[in-house]
Amino acid sequence: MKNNNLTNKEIGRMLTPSTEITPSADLKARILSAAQEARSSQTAQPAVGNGPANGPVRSTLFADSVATKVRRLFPQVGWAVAATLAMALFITFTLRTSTPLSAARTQFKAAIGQAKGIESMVMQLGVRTEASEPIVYTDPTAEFVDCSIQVIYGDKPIWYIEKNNGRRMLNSGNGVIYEWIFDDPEGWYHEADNYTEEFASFINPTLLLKEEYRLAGKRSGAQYEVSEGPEMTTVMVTTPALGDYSESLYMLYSSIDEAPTVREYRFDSTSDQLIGLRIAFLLPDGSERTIIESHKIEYNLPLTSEMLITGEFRRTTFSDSFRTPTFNEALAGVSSDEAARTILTAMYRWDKEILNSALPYTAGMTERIKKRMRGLTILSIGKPFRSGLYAGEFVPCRVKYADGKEEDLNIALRNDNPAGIWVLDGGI
Amino acid sequence: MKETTLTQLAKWIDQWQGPLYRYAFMRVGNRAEAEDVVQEAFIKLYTSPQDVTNPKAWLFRTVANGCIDLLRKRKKIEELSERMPAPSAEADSEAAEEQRRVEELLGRLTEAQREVIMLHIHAGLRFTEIATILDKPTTTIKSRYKSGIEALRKEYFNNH
Repeated sequence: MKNNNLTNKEIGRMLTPSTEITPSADLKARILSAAQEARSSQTAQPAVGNGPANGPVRSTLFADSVATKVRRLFPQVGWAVAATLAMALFITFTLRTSTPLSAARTQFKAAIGQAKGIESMVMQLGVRTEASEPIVYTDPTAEFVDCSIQVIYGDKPIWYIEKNNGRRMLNSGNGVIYEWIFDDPEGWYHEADNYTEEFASFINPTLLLKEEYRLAGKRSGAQYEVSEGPEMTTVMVTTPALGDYSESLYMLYSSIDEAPTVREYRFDSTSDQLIGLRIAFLLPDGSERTIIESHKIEYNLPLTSEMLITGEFRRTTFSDSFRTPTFNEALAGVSSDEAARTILTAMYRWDKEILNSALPYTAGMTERIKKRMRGLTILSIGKPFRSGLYAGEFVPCRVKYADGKEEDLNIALRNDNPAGIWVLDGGI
Repeated sequence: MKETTLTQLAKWIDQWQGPLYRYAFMRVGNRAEAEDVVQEAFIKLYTSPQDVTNPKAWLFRTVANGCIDLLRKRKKIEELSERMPAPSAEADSEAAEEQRRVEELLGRLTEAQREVIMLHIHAGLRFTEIATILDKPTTTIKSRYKSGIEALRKEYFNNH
């Protein structure tokens, strides 16, 4: 089935014109000449809604059309309209400057501007997680695990993330992200395009601040609190949950994106530099549970790529972590719980025909999974459910491993792939 | 207010006229109209009474608006003249043929998916830049891109 193997790159190529699309050679000269002419003929009359300013594409269209109508239909009252709008804007601005929201925006903006000269960063932080789980995995019931992030910024940033005695990730600047677990000779790699942005906010806190700045005032239910001291300014952002939890709350506290959170940013009052951050889940009883807290953030340390690309990395063998799902009739056209039963049954005797199709997203970890899951028996399988923003379904089940240990799992399965089959996406 | 100088404008034209034009052409399928939209955006930027803090995002947003506007006008004309051939037809141009081929592929997607894919592939913008232009969270942009690509993959799979 050749078409199942159509990669993102191949689709990208299909969408890329095979011929060069370039503007006329004289376009630049024409623009410059027209621009000069436009400015010299510009009258003193102030324009209203000239161009997109800060609005999105659609609202800009609307603003443009309103402005055009004002000028065309009511030229005689154009000045009055402009003056009224200017007054309204002035009043709005004056009111906004006195709110916590605008104070938060001002602080975010100052910190973003300050971050321009940063060439490297080292962040030490504590994360409630399991050491061997993925870097982004958080679990409010887990203990804190010490983590460190080291980054050398530039056109091709180099970064290294380490969980104490656990998961490591390295982007050596060659467009590939390597991942492995401490003391394990085998790791796996991913293409950077699909991976880096998942962790962008940890690796580059400026992106986190930019996102906060951009969304400030646009998120319904978000609240802001700013406290300014002589040495430190703190901005607290409280946001409600994201996603649909009508069927199950299972995913509610599984990620920072989805959970209701309190995010605290600490800035140096003099330099506006980000000096600390804390992210807490907001629990149903109104209390907070800190999930991530920075211990130390240092900038512009003399880091070199040799310091980040460790001997441990060089001793590890890496294999591709991702395979395009291939059709398998045992996993197509069935419900997720039936698919879960098929996959878990296949794990008993490690049926490669089924598991090669069912485990494409964990290809680099197959041996690890095999070691843990081979020989398991199913004790029960429950009703599948959806939760939060996750595109697939969760199947609750109880299994007994070959060593006799029993465990409850919520297996994550998804079938949003071209082959239309259920594949294992997590939960084991 | 800081006024844009002609030297600054020339520099921006050098930097962005290529991707802006490519994006506009892939949307409207006509060289003259694509160049008009791009030219209009640069002139608006040059004569803008406001300080433009992010000229790149501003230009792409303006060009995107210009293209949408143009396509709407074209649709109205087509409706009025009952299937009058669209002015995008540039039968002799290889580029126009490619545009139509890609347009046909993208025609199966939602407008939101199409917009993100074109800004990413044709204009060469990063997801974070597209998020700024469309004023949406980066996660939304990535999910639109992903679902668009998946829809194309599915479509291709079903048809071959």
